[in-house]
Amino acid sequence: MKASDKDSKPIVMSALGNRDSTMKKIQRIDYLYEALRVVLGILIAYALCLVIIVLLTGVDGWKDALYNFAVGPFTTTRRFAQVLSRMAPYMLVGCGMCFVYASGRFSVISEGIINIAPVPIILVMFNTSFGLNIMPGLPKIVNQLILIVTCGATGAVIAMIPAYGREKLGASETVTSIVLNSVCVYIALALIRNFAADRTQSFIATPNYPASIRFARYFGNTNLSEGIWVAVIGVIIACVIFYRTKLGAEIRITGANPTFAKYAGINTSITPFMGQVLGGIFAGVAGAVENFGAYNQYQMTMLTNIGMDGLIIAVMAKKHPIFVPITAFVLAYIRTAASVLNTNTKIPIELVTMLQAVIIFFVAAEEFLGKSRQRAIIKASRAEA
Amino acid sequence: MAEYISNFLYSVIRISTPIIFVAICSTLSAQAGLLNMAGESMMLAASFAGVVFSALFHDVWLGIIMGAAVAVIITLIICFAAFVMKVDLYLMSISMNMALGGGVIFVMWVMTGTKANTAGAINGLSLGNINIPLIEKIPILGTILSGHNVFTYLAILATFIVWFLLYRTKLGLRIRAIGQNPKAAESVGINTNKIYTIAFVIAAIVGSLGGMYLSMGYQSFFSKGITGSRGFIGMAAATIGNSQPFGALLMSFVFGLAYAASNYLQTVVNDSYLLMSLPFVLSTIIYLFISGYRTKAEDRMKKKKARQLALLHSELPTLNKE
Repeated sequence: MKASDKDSKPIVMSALGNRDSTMKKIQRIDYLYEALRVVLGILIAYALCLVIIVLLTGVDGWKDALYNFAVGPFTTTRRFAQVLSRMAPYMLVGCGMCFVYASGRFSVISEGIINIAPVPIILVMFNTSFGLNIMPGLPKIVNQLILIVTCGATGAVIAMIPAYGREKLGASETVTSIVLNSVCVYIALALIRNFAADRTQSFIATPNYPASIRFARYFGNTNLSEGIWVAVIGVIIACVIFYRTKLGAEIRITGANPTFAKYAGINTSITPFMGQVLGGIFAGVAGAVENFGAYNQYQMTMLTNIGMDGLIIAVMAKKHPIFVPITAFVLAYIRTAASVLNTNTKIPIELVTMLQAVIIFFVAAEEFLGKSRQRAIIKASRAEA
Repeated sequence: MAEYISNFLYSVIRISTPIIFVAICSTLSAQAGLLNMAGESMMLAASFAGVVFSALFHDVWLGIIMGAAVAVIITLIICFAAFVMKVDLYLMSISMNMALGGGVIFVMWVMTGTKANTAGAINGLSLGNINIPLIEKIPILGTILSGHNVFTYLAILATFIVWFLLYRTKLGLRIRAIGQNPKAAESVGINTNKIYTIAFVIAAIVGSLGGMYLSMGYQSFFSKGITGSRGFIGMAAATIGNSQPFGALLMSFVFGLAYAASNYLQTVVNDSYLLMSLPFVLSTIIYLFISGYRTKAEDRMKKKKARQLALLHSELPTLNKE
């Protein structure tokens, strides 16, 4: 008996070790294919963009148009600053969307939060004695902290509505959030017009923000502002929460497998709720960065599409905040390229919006390259056996 | 006064029409167990395609058929992505809405050179109003019910057709079976993906009519942002109406009332933005409230059933002895 025990043990051990390495190999193949899908998806969409541009501009102008689209954003400081300034809210919303999307929910309330988050602090700024007399005298960093905190808090409160509706009342968070987006725009406009509008302007806008209550612009007068640092810090915080805290782990597990999460003792209604609230906070901060960085006054009269772009960024990053800076940069680059192209050739920016569905399709399609992946996995397991 | 009220009710029906179409469209897919987020994209695609093709063929009905066909193609792409390529259905629908929001404007720019609307550039045809022979003569009811756009009567007709389809045909039974329990349906040999796709295609045809009403009835051209989130209002209406065709119809009228009220109140209340948010606020509140009520009722039902089952189990031994 003893002898056979001794004999069998190493065999079992080696078999286990063998399986372990095979598992790792399969995992590596999985990661590889996921990355491949993202890169291919972006490349295919980009190539489609180029083809459409060539078809539209015809024989004469296609070289110029392609140059404008592909290299344009990098040619001047101003344009590159534009890319980075777009990237700032994208990174924040993208991280927020990672939390929402990773907890298995599709709340797109970020879109409306961008518009409504700065409104409370703007009302304080232009209506109360604190805002008019004390705030301009405070150090800039304190004011910026006030902006970030109030906007984040507003975002959290707004995000709670669809989240509560979903987790407690069983209403689809997507429907509620999309309908609420319109509410956010109109309520924000109504509040601004009644309490903080600059009557000398022909359109609805507030007076200019005081220089000490905003994110200062870089490189003279470009759209790039100090807000970019807020975004960088935001991504770091998001990564810490996502990978290194209990809440982050719970969100990831609940999103990946709700049933497993339930039996593992995770509260499956609080966790996604918290995920959505976190998404709201990040969207609120993004609203602060966008409104007080890229604009001199509050002048948003419609949805900005930043929230929806955040969803695309999160999908491209495969719900990992750590990849969000890269994907945010890609989208910011493509968007800026489109606007450079627009100023030079009149081809509308909507061209890019249209191709975002193509990116989503390839990146999110589990079966895209599915057969090839299957074959690679089979090959790897056979090689081990 | 009577004239004022009947005019108001007339406009309620007029404004409700696109919402009815989308609500019925959502009802169909909700019966199959899936939320149809793509109602907005079906409306967008069809409203633009309808205008373009009716101008191209000089025939309204051919334009409408082509508009519906375009909506069906969009839906088939979504179905292919969701059921074959395994993209998350909601994700695909949302991104499709977004893509078409930009894409339609892009195509409009390519064709006309403007990004605002097709008025003047494309001479799209539209359907007119019709009077109903007998009802027309009734004093107040006549002014409310008669003289609407053809699309409005089509909307009511679509409600009946979808009700008949769902509750009186084999296909409807299958759609509802899948909605109740897809795995059970699959186990008795129903091809779920096929039924999902069929349900979505029919839903697309109904939804596309809602889009075409906006560009070929309500106004005679396509303009940017023509749908104005009506796709989602319609979806809320369908959910509140418990995914029943007539419930959805009723709720569409409630939201139409909110829209009409926000139009009419503009002479009284001097804040257009607050008024514009009224239909959206109302639909959110009703939607959340009804969902909460349903969830509670379901929980109560489950508890009751569990208690009955426990009672049955405790009685079983005594039954066996006897």
